[in-house]
Amino acid sequence: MTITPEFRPAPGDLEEHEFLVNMGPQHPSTHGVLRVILRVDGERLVDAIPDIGFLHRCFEKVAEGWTYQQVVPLTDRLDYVSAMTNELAYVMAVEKLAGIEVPERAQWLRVLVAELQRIASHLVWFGTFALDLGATTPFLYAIREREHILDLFEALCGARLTYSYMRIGGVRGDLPPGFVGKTREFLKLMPSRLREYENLFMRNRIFENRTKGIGRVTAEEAVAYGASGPTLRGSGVDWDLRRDEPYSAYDRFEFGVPVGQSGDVYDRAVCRFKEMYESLKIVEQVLDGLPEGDVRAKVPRVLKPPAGDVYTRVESPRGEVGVYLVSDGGPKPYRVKWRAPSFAHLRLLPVMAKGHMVADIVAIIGSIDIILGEVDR
Amino acid sequence: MPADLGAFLQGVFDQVHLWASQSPFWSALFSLGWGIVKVILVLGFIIVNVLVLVWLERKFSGRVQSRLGPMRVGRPHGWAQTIADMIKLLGKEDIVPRAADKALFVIAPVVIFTATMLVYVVVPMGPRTIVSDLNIGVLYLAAAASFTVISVLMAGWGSSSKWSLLGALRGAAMLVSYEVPMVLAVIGVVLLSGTLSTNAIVESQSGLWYILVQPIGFLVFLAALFAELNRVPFDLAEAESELVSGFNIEYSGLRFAFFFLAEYANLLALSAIAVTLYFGGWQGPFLPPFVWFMLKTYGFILLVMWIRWTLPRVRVDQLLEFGWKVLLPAALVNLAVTGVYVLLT
Amino acid sequence: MSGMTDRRLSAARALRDHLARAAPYAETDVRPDGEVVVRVPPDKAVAAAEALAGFRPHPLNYLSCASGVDRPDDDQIEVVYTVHSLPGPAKASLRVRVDRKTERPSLPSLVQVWPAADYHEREIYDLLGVWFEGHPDLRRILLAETFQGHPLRKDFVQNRPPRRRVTREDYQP
Repeated sequence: MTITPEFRPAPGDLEEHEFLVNMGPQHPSTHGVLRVILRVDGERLVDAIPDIGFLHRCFEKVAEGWTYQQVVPLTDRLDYVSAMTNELAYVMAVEKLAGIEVPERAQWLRVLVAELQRIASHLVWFGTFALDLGATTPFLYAIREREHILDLFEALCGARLTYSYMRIGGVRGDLPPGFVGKTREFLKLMPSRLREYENLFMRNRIFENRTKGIGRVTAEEAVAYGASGPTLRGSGVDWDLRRDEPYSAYDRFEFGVPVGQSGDVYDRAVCRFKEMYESLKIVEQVLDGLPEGDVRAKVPRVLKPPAGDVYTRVESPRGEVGVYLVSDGGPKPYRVKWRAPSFAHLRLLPVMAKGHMVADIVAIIGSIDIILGEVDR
Repeated sequence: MPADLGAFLQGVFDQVHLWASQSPFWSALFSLGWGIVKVILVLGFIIVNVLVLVWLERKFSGRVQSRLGPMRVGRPHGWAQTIADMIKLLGKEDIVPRAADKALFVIAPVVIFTATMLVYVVVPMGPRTIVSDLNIGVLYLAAAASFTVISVLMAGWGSSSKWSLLGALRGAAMLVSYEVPMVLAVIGVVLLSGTLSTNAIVESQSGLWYILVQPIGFLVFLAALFAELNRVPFDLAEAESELVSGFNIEYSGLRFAFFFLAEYANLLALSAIAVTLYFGGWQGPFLPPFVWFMLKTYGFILLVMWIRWTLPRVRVDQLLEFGWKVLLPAALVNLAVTGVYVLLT
Repeated sequence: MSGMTDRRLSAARALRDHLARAAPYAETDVRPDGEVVVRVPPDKAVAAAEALAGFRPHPLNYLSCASGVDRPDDDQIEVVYTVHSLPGPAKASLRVRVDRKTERPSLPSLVQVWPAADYHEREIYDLLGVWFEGHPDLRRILLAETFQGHPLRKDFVQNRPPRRRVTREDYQP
């Protein structure tokens, strides 16, 4: 069915009793400027067509005009809720292309911030997901816990959202004094809080009714459409890049990977929630065994990686973030293609939404944990 | 002092009534005048309490969510916040959408407020403090509570917007479905007290509050209450995060203020009814009846708010299923058990 | 990590042998990190994709990313499909080059082989101006429907189509 930009279906495309509802770019529950055109038959959804591009900021074109180091702050702003993993994907790509070896301590610090970032991002997801389903209170609690992590990041690199902490060849700077102590305090208080939120919201009967059986995706569909992260694992596919294709220092840590069974909203939500516990474990292991050393390798001022291309991927809170980097031997990247997990998951939206009710579309979008910044770039 | 004031006012009232009964003309005028005074008193009561309730909700929700709530407008704890908000709403441009059905659009807020006020007629705030002690009080209540459906539909249809229509239809379905269990639960109380008059129901609870003998009935009533009040977990008609304010999406300014006030007035009214039916109304030792009434009503309101800020929202088809398949049978069972008990005693 | 590279390299060698039989027209290269680079002409793209997806025991069923790279120096636009086997160590990139000088550079769409290609191909069409034959819904995805030009091309800034005012008439179906 073709939808013209003025939101009219082409003649003859719509059945008599169906109508189009525009869930516009401005909506409390679309997590950004996402437009979804719903084709409804009463309260039942026949189709859900996403329309994106409202947040397109020409990242890939701009990156072609800046040097490799200058692109790092740009990557922050793609998936702005988990900036550290974005930077990590990009600097790993550059390091692979240029053959730069990252010191051990820097690798461990990267894991530390990536996992703290994962917890922070999942807390945002949790709060907004609860808000979408009508429970306002868990949002405030999640934000309150996230403040601890943001305080840690502010002490570490001076920023709360867009960090520019990673550098090509390492990280920007070492841990400030008192950081380890504060982090350990945070680790002590989090598990009980998470259990509290689990009891408050995840085990709530109304929540289960609203999310079980909704938005099913089979494992085959998930793999065929390029799903990753909790969206993929919720469907029963046991695949996590941190464990199965380890990068940075992830092969040194022990952690579990929650996997769902039925691929519905509930399983995805529970997977995401349980990941927070695992991330806490990883952070603890990092703090226990952090090696001494440099935090940054010696990298030429003007970096000119040899001509070639590389595709690196990391496990961000949303899934597989991939960077396809092409170099022509010059100081600026020839092509930076950003593979965003939310972009692929958006393709699953019509698959998930078919046959459900209008009220479910909100739960489904929430379970994908979509961030328009990386979808539109 | 209160007893004296009550006696004094009663004396004045009796004296005027005596003078007026001298001729039919003055009698009629007196009744009219007294009716208007009652309406003004009720309106005043509603408005003052609604202002307090809105502030209370914001403070309470703030504290539940680990934050402070209004703090600035009115130095100690932002007590004037609601007044400021109302002034703001009054100052807004009155927008009527071009495609809207003007008559319906304009009348809907008035109807909803009127519907809410109707409930106050049978709310007993003291042994003789009631607007009109109808001896069919409960029947009147069931009828008056149904008026809100009409206004919701008027608002949704009159706004001529798909989103508001969706919200209004959902709201209407919900309101209609939940009235049945609600009334059935209340009939349990009626059976026990043997009367439909609200004041008599309160008086018959002097030994035992009905909550203790009608626990299932109360739970059914409580669930239906949330549906009637349009509050989470049953706030489908509004559903902020889905339908962006549902049936009152196109309203702004004074008209929106009406909807807003009506919602809280409804909360107060139905909480007062709940307290009347299950918690002994104005009964209580030591303190004056009116104070007991207010304490119990506000206590119940806090319970309602507590539930509202804890639970997520139920989906519309699950809501209707719950109403028809769980609440209705429960209410019927409650009725049957109560009936048997009354028969045997 | 080196364990993974070893597994990837052995999978890569097996994949190369498989392609030598199943897709003899393809130029294959195994990179030191285990990625198998497969270059094919546009008309053989679908067959090569199916050969990759049919590789056993690690079918390359997971399309991670489809990227377009504008190479004006060769007068070509290269489309790179990066695929992995999920689960499994195999990794390959299918590269197809199309002629940039024509009005409508095109190659067949790989949506039937990897449904994930849907949005990626739309993006390449949108930003680089490569048409995908057989794509179910090829229209712009990130930019406005009335946008003229393909911004990710290297010559976009110099040779930008003149901007005209967009009016209501543009939107009539």
